[in-house]
Amino acid sequence: MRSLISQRPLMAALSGLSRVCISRPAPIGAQLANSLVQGQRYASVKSQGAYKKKSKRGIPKKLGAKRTGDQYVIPGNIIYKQRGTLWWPGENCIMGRDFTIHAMATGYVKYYRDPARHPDRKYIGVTFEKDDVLPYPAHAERKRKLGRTAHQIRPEAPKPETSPSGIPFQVTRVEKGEPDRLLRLRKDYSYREDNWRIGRLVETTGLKIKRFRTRKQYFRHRRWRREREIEGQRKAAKRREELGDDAVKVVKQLSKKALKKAKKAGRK
Amino acid sequence: MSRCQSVARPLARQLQQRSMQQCLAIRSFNTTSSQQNAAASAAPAAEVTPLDLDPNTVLPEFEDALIKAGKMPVGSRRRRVALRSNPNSLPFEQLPYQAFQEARKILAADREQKIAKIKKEVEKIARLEAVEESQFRGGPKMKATKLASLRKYVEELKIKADVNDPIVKKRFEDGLGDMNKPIYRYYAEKKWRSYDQRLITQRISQFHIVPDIVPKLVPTADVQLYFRKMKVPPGEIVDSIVSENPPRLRVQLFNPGERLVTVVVVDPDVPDVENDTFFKRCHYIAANIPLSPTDTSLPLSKIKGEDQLALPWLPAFAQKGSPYHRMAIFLLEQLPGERVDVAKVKELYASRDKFSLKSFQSKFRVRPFGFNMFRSVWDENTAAVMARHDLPGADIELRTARVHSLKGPVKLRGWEAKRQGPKYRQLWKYTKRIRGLSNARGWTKRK
Repeated sequence: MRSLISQRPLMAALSGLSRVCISRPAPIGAQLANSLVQGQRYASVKSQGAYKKKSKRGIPKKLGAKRTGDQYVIPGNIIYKQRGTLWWPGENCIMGRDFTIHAMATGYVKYYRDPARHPDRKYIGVTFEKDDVLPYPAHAERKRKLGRTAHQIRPEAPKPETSPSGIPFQVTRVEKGEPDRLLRLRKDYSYREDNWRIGRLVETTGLKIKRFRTRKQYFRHRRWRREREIEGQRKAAKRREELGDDAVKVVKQLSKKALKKAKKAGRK
Repeated sequence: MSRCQSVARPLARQLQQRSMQQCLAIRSFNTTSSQQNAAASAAPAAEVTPLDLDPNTVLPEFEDALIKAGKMPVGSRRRRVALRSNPNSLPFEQLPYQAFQEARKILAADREQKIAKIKKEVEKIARLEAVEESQFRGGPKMKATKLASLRKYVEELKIKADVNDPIVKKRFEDGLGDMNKPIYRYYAEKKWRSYDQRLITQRISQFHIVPDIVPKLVPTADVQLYFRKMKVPPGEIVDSIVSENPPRLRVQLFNPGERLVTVVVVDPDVPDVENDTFFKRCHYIAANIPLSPTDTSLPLSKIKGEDQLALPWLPAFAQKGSPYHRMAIFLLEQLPGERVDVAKVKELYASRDKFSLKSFQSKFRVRPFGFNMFRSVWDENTAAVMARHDLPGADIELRTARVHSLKGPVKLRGWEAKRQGPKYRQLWKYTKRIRGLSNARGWTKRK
């Protein structure tokens, strides 16, 4: 825009020239351009009204305070909805992932500042007593509520030895030279070992599943192996050099499949 | 090594040797007995040699015996093995490297300089002390300040004189440092501040020890916690059967001199169901325990003196459903030359409940300087521990109190709920599943 304004005398001179040459009245488009160049909108344009219209109303986000100061809240109540942290969670409050402040205790909402914690932040807290003032004194004991009730521990109902049909819930299979297996009664009245027990059987075989006990051992082994390989290659290269080119008999590595094929071809 | 192993070892070895001799006797012409030779060379290694009785060269398998005899193994195992293989090596300070010896000379010269300075300062202190307070410019207050600052400077010089000595550093790292000397205390404190001190301060703030139990706490001594010979990191949850017996503390002080300390163990998380809060319970109090930088072990079970043990150890326990209990162990310093009246402590805190460390501090003029903690929760052993010590409450479970909604009850909705009345009697066999109340198997809502 600024460049247009700065060029304004030049543009005016140009338009004057055009008027001299062509005695026709300029079209509306040109008029519009002129007015734009001049930086004003005439009533004819304004009366069209399109650019002055406000955007249509969006979906309201319903942000702001949902509970006022000293209002009673229970855990989980929303106290404040916001975009970003206009307010921070203080005593007995937490902030959700969309910055909503929730109460974490039953009590009374307090809006306050705590310069000892942060010089600029505004906090929302919940106190157990209506008369309490936040922030609490710095070295005072925290006020906490247990929020639990006492109940007698119910003794576990003793499980019957046998199932209603009169057969035991579990039997032990004893096989000579094998570990004892515990077989349990299933819903279909079959006896089967627990899957996790079957998994544990591997330990009793004494098989070595992993070659290396630890990751560190494996990497050390790999390192040494690679060193050996490199050393071997170096030696082979040296030997080859000593023997010269003609002494080296190149044996092309063939896959099993290719070998078979070659054999077949040879037979024919 | 377990006891039975250690008993069986000589017998087994004898048998092994005999069989070996037999083998050799029978097949003496065998040239390919490399395996047997290897076994023969491995067998004497298990025998106790004089080197295994020396803490400088003891092998890992003989460490326990040595520790039992009261000698701690020196340095790392790796170093000990190295020393074994080369027993007649040159001492560190005589290594024949020219640059090394030149550097040692420079360090020695620096040390001489520092010692000369210390002598000068000590003389100055003596001169100042001789001057009468009234004659002193600035009065007695000025004299005291000046003396204090001079003494501080001397202490600084003492550390600076030795701080570059590699032998001193090595001796500290081998655990041979004499904690009566300022340089070793300096190293110990530096080591503590590099990690353990930071850890303990973090625990103090993250477990809210500071506003909950004491208003202020700056630890100045290293306190480590051991249960059943195992070190417990601060704040760890300890099984109730492990914490049934009192722990052992390892206390390293960093300032010189012997002093009397009080040990207090507090549990600030005892549930108080009637008042819907928590209160503090005192699990242990012992006072007038002498402590100095050189003696570090403080087993709470060994403190039994009439004028020391006020409240014996009460096992840590947490009722079922209660949040974790913080068991805070405080070491409090008594005023120099003052003893705590243990009879009075016994009388005041016979009932362990509703204990306040703050009031204890002001009553007996003690100041906390060391701290450690562990946590306790309900586990499978807690009920047995509580039964063994006649502690009530093992049959009670704490359940989260229900907080009812502020909104009124909502009328039940849905096709079934609408057709519950007698008007729809013919539909009752189809209207049994009401959301939130029941399902096909029957009534689900807890009454």
